[in-house]
Amino acid sequence: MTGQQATTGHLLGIDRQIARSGGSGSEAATRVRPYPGWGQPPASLSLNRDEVHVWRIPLDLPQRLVADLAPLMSLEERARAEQIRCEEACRRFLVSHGATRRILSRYLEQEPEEIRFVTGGRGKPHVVTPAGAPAICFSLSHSGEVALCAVAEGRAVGVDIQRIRPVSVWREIAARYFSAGENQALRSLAGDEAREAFFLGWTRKEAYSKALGEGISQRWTQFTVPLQPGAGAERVGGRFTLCALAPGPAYVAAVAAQGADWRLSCWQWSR
Amino acid sequence: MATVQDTVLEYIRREVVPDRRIDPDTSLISVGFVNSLEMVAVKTYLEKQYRIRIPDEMATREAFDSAESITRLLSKLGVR
Repeated sequence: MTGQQATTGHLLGIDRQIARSGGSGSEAATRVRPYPGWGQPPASLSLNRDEVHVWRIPLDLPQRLVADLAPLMSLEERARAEQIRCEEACRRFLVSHGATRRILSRYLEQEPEEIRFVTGGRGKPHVVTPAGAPAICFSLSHSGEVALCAVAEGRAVGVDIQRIRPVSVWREIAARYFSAGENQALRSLAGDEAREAFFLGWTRKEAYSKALGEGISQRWTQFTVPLQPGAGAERVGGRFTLCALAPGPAYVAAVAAQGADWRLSCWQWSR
Repeated sequence: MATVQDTVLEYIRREVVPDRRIDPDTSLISVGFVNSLEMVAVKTYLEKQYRIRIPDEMATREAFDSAESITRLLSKLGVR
């Protein structure tokens, strides 16, 4: 591992010894090294084909910064924003979409307001990459006051973030959508630890599912992710690799991307 | 006795979007109020509450867009 990977390569710091000895299911569970957190991006940022970038976007920005983002919206996004009656929800919508445009603009050599999106199967948005521009894939997720935007080149990617919050029916949800191994792991936990493990599992399953371009379905019972904090997983067959993220207190998150030959960088978005 | 719509609204206000004004026709998904886990939580709560199973093909984003539309979905499944 290179020095750079050791400091920023929070991922694919996969210890296969732990993977084999782990008890979280039949699939190759892995453990991801701790990472230093969300860095400030350099002014000029490149995205190599062996990289995945995840951006953390704070959604509760001052009104003057929100006002800067509003003009970046497409007509459709403006129409959606106008339908939002709650001021806080409207602000969060404008910031998550405006920040995503600014972030993608860094990679696409396009102005943020020029970026076009198309909706693929199952409602997943894709960016329309101009001729000659890199084939950028992205995934956006938000919960509470934080959004995450994952970006990769030529590699399917999915991200999910959840604020840990009261969900009275989480055990019923796990019974329906989690694998037998995951449910067994949940039964060995109690109280807040059990609920956090549920949220960890959910973000990992959904990140993987989004990378695959699939929705939530009964197929979720057929694969197992680790439920312990700080763990990641590699899918059987090695087609996708999953990495846990630490977006902040009371939040859990994960990113999944095609292949196993990628490194992760995490950036804090500010404007 | 609480109507089905009251029950739906009460759950949404309690667990999905607390501290916000939610009316029966407030669009939940199109304004980003409901992420996928929240939608699954609403579905699972109603299945438990009314002892029904909402088929996945009926659990569309449109059907879960407001308390009104969720109530219509439940009505189709015999919950009134």
